[in-house]
Amino acid sequence: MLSIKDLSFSYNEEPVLKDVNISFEVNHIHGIVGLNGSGKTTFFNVLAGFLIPDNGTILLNNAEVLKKNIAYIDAEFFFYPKLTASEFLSIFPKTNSNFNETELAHIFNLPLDEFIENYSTGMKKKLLILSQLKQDKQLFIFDEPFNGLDIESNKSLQYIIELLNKKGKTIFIASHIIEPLFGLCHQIHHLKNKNFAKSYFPNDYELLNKEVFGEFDEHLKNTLSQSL
Amino acid sequence: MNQLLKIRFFQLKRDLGFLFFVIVALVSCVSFFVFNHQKQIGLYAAGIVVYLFHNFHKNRRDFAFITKHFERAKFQILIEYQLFLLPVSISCLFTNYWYCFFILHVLVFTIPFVNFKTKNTFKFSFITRFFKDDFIFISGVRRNLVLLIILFLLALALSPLKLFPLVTLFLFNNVIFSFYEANESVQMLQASQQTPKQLIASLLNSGVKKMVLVNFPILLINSIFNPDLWMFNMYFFAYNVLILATVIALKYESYQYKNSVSNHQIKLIVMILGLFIPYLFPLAIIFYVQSRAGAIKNLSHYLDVVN
Repeated sequence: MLSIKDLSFSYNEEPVLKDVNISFEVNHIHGIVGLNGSGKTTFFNVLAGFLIPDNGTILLNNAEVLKKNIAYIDAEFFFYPKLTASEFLSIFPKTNSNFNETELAHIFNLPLDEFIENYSTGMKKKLLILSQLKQDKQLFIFDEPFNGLDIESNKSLQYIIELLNKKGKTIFIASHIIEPLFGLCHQIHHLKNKNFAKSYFPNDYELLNKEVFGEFDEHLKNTLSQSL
Repeated sequence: MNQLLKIRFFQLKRDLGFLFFVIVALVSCVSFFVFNHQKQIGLYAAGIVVYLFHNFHKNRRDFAFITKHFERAKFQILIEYQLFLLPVSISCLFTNYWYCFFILHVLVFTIPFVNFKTKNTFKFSFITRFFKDDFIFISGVRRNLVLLIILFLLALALSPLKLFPLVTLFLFNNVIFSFYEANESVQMLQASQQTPKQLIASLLNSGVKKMVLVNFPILLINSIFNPDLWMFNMYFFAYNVLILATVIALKYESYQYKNSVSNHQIKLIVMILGLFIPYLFPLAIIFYVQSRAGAIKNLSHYLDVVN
């Protein structure tokens, strides 16, 4: 169980997460949804240890989460200049013995001899994902993983996430595109007003759509009809 | 027309405040001291100043933004450089090197008009074989290979002479220091599987080994031909190692997982001044110790503190 107790975080005294208390089942795929600015990325950054919370604890099976056990795939990323994709991958230790770099690069359509700066955004994201798959990590955090990927890569990534889960990994996915999460997640958690408002199981996903976006849709329609 | 100067004004006011005037005064004093030096190193100093401006221009990240959004962008950059050059150049006017004032301004004038950014598509696979998984050096050498070769050969050829090889070697080492301006992504940082202390030690160890490889033969030849300089040569190498250690510490002190570049240019320039003024050596050590402590603290956000 990944237990979060009394977690609060603020940027320049502006609270982003406040008194978060939630437990996540390990070996499950967890979706995190919420509107832009709801704190999804901040939550992930705190979870990964990059940001120090004002207070609260995060424990994985009653122990502190080690950074080396977390794979973090950011929404925004950058690469070191003038490195080829294969040089980039060689930096990461191969602790996942099944990892086949050539095969996976082929599936993702990545020319490994190319300089990364010549890659498109989607290719860079796929390369970053490969670098994390090369390592045997416990916890995978995907921040907006489906953005910028073509349909085939999107599908491949969904299979990869399922496969990782079958291998016993705990996975967090934040996305503002909710559809890919439906078939993938064991639970989807709604982040709203600096805290987790509600958690939904696969059977409740219609309700989730209505509750998370219904109110917003109505507001949007009304505003647009008056403004345009 | 003066958007860039306005931005610089706000940045300096925000980041340095009154300290800006202290730095300007310090730079002017150092400049006067260097250009007035009895060993006649004024021309080399002018070369180093032009190199620093060139290096800044080559690595500036706002170039695309300025050229896209600012009116007469190159002219604005030109004015910026000429103004920032003044604390150094005005001091020359009161020394025997008064003509360096004009040399400096003319050379710096040309910098915005020269396109340094060539699209280098050569991979030079031997670099990967030589440096193995040291991505900082693979990337840095690939970006600066021609310049490094020229500077090394020049330093080697001049090594029997006084001072010339040291200036060239200093420029060579500066190119190496510039390797640490780029930030690696947090995933690359974590791939090392080291604690903050181990990471800093291993980077320093790796950097020093490479510096020894290049610096040692040149300094040895120089000391053989100029036995009176061996002490200074040792100081020169030790100080360069100190700069390297500080550059690494400064990089990780300011490292942020969302920023692709480290911003420690001003601190580095202050550090470099210590090479010309030995009295600054203790200050440089304090500077290093502080940055190292800051780096270890900052890296603990990204790396496990225990293995």
